[in-house]
Amino acid sequence: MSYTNEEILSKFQEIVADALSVDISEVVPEARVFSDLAAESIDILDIQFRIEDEFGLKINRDDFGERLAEGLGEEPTAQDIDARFTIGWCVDFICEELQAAEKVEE
Amino acid sequence: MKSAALGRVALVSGGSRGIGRAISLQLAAEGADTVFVNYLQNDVEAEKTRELVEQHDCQAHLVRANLAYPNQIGQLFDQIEQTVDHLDVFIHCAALTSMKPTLALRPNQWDLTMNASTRSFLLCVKRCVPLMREGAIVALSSLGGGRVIPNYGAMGIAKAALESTVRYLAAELAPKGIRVNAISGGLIDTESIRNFPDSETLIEETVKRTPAGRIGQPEDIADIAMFLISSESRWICGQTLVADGGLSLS
Repeated sequence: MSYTNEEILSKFQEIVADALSVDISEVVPEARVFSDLAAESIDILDIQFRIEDEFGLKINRDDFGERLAEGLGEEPTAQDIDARFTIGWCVDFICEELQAAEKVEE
Repeated sequence: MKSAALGRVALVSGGSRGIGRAISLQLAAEGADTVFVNYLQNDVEAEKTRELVEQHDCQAHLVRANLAYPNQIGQLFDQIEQTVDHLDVFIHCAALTSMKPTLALRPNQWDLTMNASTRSFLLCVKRCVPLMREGAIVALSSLGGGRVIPNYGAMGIAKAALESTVRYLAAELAPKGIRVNAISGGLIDTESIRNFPDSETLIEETVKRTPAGRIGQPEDIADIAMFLISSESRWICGQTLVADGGLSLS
């Protein structure tokens, strides 16, 4: 099965809103996952599992961490990570993973 | 005591790290023929466990599956059935939770804890039964299933449900020659301890309150698991065996 970018954004918004018990209107691309949506570490795992189940992906946590810290210097601060870790960044990450798995419609 | 594991085929859920790894290795060391090591996502640690198991001339099969999802439990057992024609032992160590006050739990955190730790046990046992001519099933519980440990609400409630599931399944499966029991450990020295807020203080205080004068090691629990799969424990059915160095006595 393949997805358009709009479908990926829409599915991801549904997943995050349901996991975090927030209104979907809050799950906008610029929303920060930790400081705006109040996600905790178990929620990140939960969202990861739901993405894997929905899109048929296996996300490598080390790859994920490295990509999140990319370009933020040797020792990125928690604030740097928080600012980078937005809904929009996550959607881009999923799109790239799906492209690698050839599951995105061109 | 003669080897409990000799020639047996076993599945260990959550078997790649901590207590699960110690049990996988103990099964191999005591002569198990094959150990299926289920793990969630840490491929590196799983590979380490495979190497350690194989050092004992035991076949190790790594099976990555997220047991919070029934379809992945199905895939896990499909893979087992493609490899062997029976199972003798199932040891359930898989668990996942959020360490926080019970009132602060979100619905998804409750669901993930219950599904990954407790529902997964029932769904795995349902698939184990047709593969077991007779056998032994052991679930890993903890003292938090019967008493209050700060920030342990989700896991404690899941462990209480797990112990109850053990009793019901034990009654239903004993006539088939399958024994089901649980182990309740105290604080065990694994990476999971670090998930508690202020874990160093927790360890210090637990050591002070434990008559045996230390916290448990994964191997302490692995030895109890070997006992519960052995014929020496044949008359123990549906019980939760407390193994905590005396922590729960005071």
